[in-house]
Amino acid sequence: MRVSFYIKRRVKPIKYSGIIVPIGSIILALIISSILLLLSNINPLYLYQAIASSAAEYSTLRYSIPLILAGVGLAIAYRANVWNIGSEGQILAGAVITTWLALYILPHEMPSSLALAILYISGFIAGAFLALIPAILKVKFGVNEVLSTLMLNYIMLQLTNYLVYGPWRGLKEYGYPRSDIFPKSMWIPQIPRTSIHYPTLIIAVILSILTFILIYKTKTGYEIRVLGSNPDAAKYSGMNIAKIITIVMLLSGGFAGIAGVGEVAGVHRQLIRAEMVSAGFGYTAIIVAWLAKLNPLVIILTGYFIGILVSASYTLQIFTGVSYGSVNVITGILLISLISLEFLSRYKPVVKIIR
Amino acid sequence: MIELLIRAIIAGTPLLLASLGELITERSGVLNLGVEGAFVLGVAAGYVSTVITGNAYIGLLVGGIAGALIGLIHGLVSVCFRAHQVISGLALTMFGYGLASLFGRVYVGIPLPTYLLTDRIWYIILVLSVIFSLVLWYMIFKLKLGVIIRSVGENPYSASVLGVDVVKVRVLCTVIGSFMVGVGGAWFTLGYLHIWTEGLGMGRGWISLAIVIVAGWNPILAPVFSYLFGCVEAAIWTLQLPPYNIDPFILGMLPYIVTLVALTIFMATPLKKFLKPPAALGYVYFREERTV
Repeated sequence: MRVSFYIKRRVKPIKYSGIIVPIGSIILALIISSILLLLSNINPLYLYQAIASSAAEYSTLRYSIPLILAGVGLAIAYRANVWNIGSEGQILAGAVITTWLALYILPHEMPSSLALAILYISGFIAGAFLALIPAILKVKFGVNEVLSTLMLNYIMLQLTNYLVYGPWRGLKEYGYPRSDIFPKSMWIPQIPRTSIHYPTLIIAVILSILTFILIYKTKTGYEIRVLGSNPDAAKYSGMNIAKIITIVMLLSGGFAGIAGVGEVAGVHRQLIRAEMVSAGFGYTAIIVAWLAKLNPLVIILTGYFIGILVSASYTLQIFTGVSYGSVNVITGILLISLISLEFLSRYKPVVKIIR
Repeated sequence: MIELLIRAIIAGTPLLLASLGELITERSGVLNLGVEGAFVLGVAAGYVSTVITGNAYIGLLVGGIAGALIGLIHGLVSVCFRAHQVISGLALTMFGYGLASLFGRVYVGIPLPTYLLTDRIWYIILVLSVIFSLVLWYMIFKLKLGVIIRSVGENPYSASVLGVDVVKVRVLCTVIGSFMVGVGGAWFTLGYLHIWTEGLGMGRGWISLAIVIVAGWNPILAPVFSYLFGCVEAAIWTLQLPPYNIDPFILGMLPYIVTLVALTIFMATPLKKFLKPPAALGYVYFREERTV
């Protein structure tokens, strides 16, 4: 007698897999995380309490803003099979350029709307510029973009911390590693009593819609999708692959740059330590994009949900004293269960006993 | 000068272990971005288990097992479940980061009862690591086992026709490779830094991934680049102190800038023609299948 194990493709994916898979993976991730929390002597009820209180509080939307922006950007790149992992650094690039302009370049008594427009645009340019480096290295020399964008994340992290500990450390900040507060005209307005900087939220939603149109309704979008699904077809049909790679990298870097503008000018009003400007938003945005199956409109929804999770992790930190980094367990498991269930919705594992 | 060299060897050894592990995995055609998570988890597991047991060798073993766990999940998800290797690896890196902070949090500030006395036996380590790299080279390029691993990494379909169980080989290579990455992580604290703080070792996994590339997936070249990076680390240590007094954050960029430049030089020059990546690296293996 022998036990044979193989995988059989389902004739059709299971019914409603579009809904079952994401929700199922969230439930599975929560179950596994609870077990791990139990094993490390933390009552998992705190996790659910934190999620519930974050979900009830609509100010958690503040965490969704950078996630949506970076997530939409990543969706463009991933559609083309370009693996930009550099959102984290691109967010920091947006934050650094904003601080430089707000504190040292732009006149402090400036009409606010003009100042904010300049900040948003230069944030986009800064993020796009940082993404241009790996794009050029990939197109010209074939350097793997995963590694080059990762390296740039660490370089930007160190640069930001150098600035806040060194030359940009605020004179009125009692020696803390943060820059001076921006002049009032550079503050992105917030919804009263929350830290939701609504202009950035509006930009995020508009960009999601525009990106949806770009990907599904334009020639460039078509080329992006062809390159992503069948690189050989793209090559032999004479598409300019270098151009497409550069475009998707510029856009995804630029969107993350805008998120960086929002974080410093909309929430903190000053540059702070890199780990606090972007607490892993660039990496979490990968989950946001993947959970939405790279659909920019769905990203608004998944960005909202993961925003709750991010906010819950801060609450969990207060409840139990676990560090923010521990929450990576939940996000990591969520992504793993998502890709595993995605597979199981299309394939069926079969165990057969052969006599 | 000799001080710097010794420090370079001590700092480079964990990178060498991790990059040789990742090299085995990549030779079988699996791109494991979980290497970063396995390394960081290996650091935490090695430290915690050494504090508990008081034996640094158990620490190395537990670090390796923790790394192998990450590799096992990566093998299951990206080879058996055919998920995208980049996404699976990144998810596991986050998972490894999180698990390290979660289970290591109570051990912050607790000193290590014992550690590996690497600074006294550095020349033995140097000789052993070169021998180990040579053995690995012999295994990969001269033995039948190596041919099997390489065939799966170059052309899994032909390998399958010739009777190789592609899935099994890939999963095994991922687990064994990640075990070595985990040992490297444990070594990083037990043999080099002797401390534990949250996030210790972050970024080293990526650097060992870069070492694999610039070494052209060849075990003989891995020690050269690992000790080169060890040199960079040792130099950073020296340059922070007087008379240089260079800002630690500026120096902190150095390993990443060096990696980026090394990658570019490797790709932009004819080097890449001699040292090619496995042809099927990163590609998911689909066997033809019945639907009924």
